[in-house]
Amino acid sequence: MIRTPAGDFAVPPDGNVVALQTWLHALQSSAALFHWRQDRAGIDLACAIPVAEQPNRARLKLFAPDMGVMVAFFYKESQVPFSTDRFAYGAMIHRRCAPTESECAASVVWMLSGLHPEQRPEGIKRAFPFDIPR
Amino acid sequence: MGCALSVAPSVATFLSMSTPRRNPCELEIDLFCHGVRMDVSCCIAEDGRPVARTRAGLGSGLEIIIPGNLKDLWVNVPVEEDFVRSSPYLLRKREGRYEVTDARNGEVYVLRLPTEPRWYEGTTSAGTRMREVGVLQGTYLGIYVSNSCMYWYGEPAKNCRFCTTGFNVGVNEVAEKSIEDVVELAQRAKDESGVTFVHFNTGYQKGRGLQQIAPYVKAVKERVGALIGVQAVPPRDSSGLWQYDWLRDLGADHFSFCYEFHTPEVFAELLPGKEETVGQQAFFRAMEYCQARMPKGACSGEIIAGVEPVAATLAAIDYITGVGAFPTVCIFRPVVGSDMEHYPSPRYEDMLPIMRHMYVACRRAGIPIGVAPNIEVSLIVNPDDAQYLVPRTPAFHLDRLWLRMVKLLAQRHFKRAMRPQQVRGTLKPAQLSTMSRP
Repeated sequence: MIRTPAGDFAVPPDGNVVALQTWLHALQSSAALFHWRQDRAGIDLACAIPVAEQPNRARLKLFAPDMGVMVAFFYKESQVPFSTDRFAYGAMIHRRCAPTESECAASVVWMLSGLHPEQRPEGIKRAFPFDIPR
Repeated sequence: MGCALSVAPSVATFLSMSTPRRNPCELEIDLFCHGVRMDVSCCIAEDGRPVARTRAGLGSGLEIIIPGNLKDLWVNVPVEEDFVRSSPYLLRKREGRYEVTDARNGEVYVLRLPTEPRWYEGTTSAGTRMREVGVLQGTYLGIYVSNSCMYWYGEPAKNCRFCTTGFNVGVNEVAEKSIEDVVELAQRAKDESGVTFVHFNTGYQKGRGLQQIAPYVKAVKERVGALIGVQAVPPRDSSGLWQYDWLRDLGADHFSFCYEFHTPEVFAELLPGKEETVGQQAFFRAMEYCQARMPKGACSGEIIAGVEPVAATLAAIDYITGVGAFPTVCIFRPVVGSDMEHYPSPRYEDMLPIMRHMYVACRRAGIPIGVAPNIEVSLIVNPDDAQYLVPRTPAFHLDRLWLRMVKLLAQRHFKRAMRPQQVRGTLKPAQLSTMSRP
């Protein structure tokens, strides 16, 4: 489920709304807990389930870089507080289509593992031509 | 800006008091292997260089300087990787100075943090942030001319498994670097940071990597003046080796060859793109070709220690020094986001004899080390860093004296090479028109 500080998500009007809703539904209905971080661009979610007794560093950012396109970007933030570095793990790009249920489920499992390289779902693009908003 | 937070490891982890005090190079190796945690007293944002991952990802660490009586050592210490959480080393600021404490024995080591160059926050005339064009790695300027590496494109990706270059596009670096931006940056870095060496690097460009770098080499040599290093995937066969002569005519002073692993099977498994497109022999062929035409130590073979067996790394060092090149030995770092993120960080006990062997092999082969002016690479254990690892015999002191004389004699050559100067070569040599498209 997603724990939101207040209110609902504002769905970007120019993005791929169906893809976004599919993601949100998958995350809401999963047993894992995600925190929505409202100070970040897009819909930015932090996985709250620890990995090996350490805080889980997995992050998911859903954003619309272009009309009809939605990107699910997986990343970790720096564990050094003064650093603004981000560690990209790849993205799923949905152009006028929605993710499948199994894609979403595999992504949740991957986030629960702390983005372990051997748990990476299929369909993750490792290089993509979008700037990732902060 | 915020100060760093401390993540304390379990005290039980550090019950052993048998760890002796480290000398500067031993400490450098230990820090590469364990990383450093940061105490709440650290204010790196004000006192040091920003931590920013660029290029293959190795620059993700904290730049520090370990003072020593033979030389000071520049180290890019891991701080981002998960294994750092259990490091015995804790960095803190006390009475205005930085020190690391080893929780295993209570030893304290005083360090310095290199300050952030003013130009890091500057912009070029075109409005590009300078630190997104190039960064200091130790005392040299590293510029990844094109952030794309073709090994990352395609399904499945054939990227080097330890690398994260393909993840930096649009995240921490600008994708394409303009010549004007690079020239402006190099000039600022030379004027304000005393940079003497500019290193150009590119990912796999379908056989066009050396050509891609060529205009940058010429522009910086002619308009800024610096020692210039080039690193790109070598040509697949000997018909393309002329490009190295061409680049020398354009101003290149140094070539490095990242073949990473000496064991052919490990090379093939962990560098699938390099294996498929050029093969390990292409690196050997190019390095031997270049080194045979250049002064001893003008080329380097770059390898990663800590993944393949120690014996293989020792064999790599012997091969590289046997060619007359100097070994650039990087301690494997399981970089956040890489395919090898879950691999363990190497053991200090394994890395120590490797670095000692590196120093001995260089001296045995008569490779001048530590001679070029102001080149300290923070991502590796520099060959002359490892002088701390050998006994201080009369022969050691004699050798240091000899190296000092070589350095003195080489000063004139380097001074000349670092002046802006017209180069011999042109950007469109006849051979280019006969090259087949990949």
